[in-house]
Amino acid sequence: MNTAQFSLMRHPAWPILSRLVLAVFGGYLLTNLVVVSVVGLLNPHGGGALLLGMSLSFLFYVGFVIWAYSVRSLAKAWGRFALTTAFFLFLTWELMA
Amino acid sequence: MSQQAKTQKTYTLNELRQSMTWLHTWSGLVLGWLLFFVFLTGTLGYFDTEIDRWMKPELPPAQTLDKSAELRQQFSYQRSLQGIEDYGRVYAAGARCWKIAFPLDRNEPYTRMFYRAADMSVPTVKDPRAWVMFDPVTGKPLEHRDTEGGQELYKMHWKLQYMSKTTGEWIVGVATLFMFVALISGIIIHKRFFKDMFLFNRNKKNRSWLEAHKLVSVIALPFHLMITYTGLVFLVVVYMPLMIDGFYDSKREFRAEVYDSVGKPRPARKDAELAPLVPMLQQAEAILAEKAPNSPISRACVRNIGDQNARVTFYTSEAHSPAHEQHSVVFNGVTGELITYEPAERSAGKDFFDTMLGLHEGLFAGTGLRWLYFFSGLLGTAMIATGLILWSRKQHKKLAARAQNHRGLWWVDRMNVATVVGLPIAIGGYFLANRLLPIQMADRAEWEVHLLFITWLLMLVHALLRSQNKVWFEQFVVAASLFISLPIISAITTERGLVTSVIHGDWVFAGFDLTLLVVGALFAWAAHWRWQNRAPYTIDDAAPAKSQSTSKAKAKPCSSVHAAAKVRG
Repeated sequence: MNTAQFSLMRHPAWPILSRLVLAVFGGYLLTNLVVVSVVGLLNPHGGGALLLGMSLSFLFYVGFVIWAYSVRSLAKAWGRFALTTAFFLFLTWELMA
Repeated sequence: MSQQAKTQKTYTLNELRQSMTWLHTWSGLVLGWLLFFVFLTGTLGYFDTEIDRWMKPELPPAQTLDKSAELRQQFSYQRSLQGIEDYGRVYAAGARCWKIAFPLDRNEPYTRMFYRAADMSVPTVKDPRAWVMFDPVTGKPLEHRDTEGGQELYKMHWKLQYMSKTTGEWIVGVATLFMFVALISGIIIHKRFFKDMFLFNRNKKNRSWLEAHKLVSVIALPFHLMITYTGLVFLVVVYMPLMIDGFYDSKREFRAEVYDSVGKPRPARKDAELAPLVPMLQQAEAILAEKAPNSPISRACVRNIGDQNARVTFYTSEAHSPAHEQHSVVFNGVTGELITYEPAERSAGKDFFDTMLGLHEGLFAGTGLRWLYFFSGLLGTAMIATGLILWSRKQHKKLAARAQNHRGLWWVDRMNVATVVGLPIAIGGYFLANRLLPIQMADRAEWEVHLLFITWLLMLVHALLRSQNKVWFEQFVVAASLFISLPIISAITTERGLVTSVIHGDWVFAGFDLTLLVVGALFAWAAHWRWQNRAPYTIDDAAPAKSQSTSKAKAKPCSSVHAAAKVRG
């Protein structure tokens, strides 16, 4: 770890920016992984289920944004996000392979 | 911070509400002006074909098959299609598509054709792209002024203007997501809203902007949630491309599997003569009469005209229910052979998706429900406007208390007036341009749109140059004069004035003119109210609201930023 990283994290805007990135980009990533893996697991015939999953994905996404702003500790929010994402990334990886 | 608080994983209810207030304020504020534009132009889309008709006053009053028994007797699909085909082969040869509609209801008030990418090397082709209206009985083309009408106006709400469609869609998509977040967090902040709605006191002396904001938000909350969510679903293929990449090689492949399988192939780039359309129509009518009875054909699409891969598709109307069901029959456009019949119901996913689209567009809505859609949309627009003003007011109060000035807030105030009043003026300018630009002017339709944005820019310049305590009043006066004079100018420049329309019972024209007058009167009332409440800038909100709910949902964006930063850091 270098000092530049630490000074960035000490900046007053850091918690706001970090949470925003988590909510918007983290949420987008996780939403994609969840839909792809759930639809992949169900392995349905035709594209209808994927379209349904895609249409419902915004509910998950918005729910995630709200969640990201309802967890007190930023580190905990990132931690839980990382664990969940890792799980769904693994699932997606297995399904796509 | 106490030890207990530090070990807690989640916020207490109060802290949660503070965090949600921060989220609500910033997600709403950052894209508020854009969302105002999206909501207002989108709301006008519920009257898109009525605006079209007003902006093409040369066309005779529309007769539609659902309303006119006379037309039902005289109308013939075959004659109409033949008329369009004869016109298209001469003036729209080699086009990428002809989109043909029959005068079923208010969604398609005229027999018409839209074509694009016509072959300009053919001497008879004058425009690469145009809307052409036809007499529903004789099938002869009707002349009208060059305008994009209500179509371009409502299309701005998702593709914006002066940028690529994709760029516009993404910008609007991000704004819509923020809107969704602002709605959900707004509900969490304001947990008692059902109770408060019934407690709303009309006689309260110091009715605050906060209460106005809550009122317009809560009244139409189901609409706001529906329209925001379905707006995102509408363009899901654009916003969530990676999900498709997970399963398909291309979006095209996905689309083909889910909705339009065979009707939209790419051109083969080999010339081939288009077969006559009427025999295909007869075959389609026979098939649909059996498979989808009581669903008349509303549209036909001819794609890749003059190419080996020409396709002709006939569609039933999707507008009889929110489910947006549309049956179709596809033909090979060169051989005239039937390719397939495609039923409306194909999968649960598509049915859900179609219903979301149906709810968003409201094509199924009759007159009463259409006005309800319209007023709900206006309430959404008012929700954004009051939210923007509310934020500015609170900042002023805070800065006044600290005797500070703030450059950013000065800009927010200017943008607020230039958006909330400036945009309606700009739309009035669009209508005015339609009546005043010379009929024969080159690129007339484009200039109407340019004038909308030029007017809007002028309103922004005005807002920047004038002092804040005058600027609202002055723009209200401009808006009132413009909207009240529009029906008068229309009566002078066309033969379809308000009085004539009322005498002939032409309620689309009369309704449009009357709506303009009502809007003008409302702006005049606003100007009067602003004049009576004129006060020096920055300290004009001295009286704080006394309501209980106001104190409960105290939104302090700046301070909560700091508080939140402290809590999280």
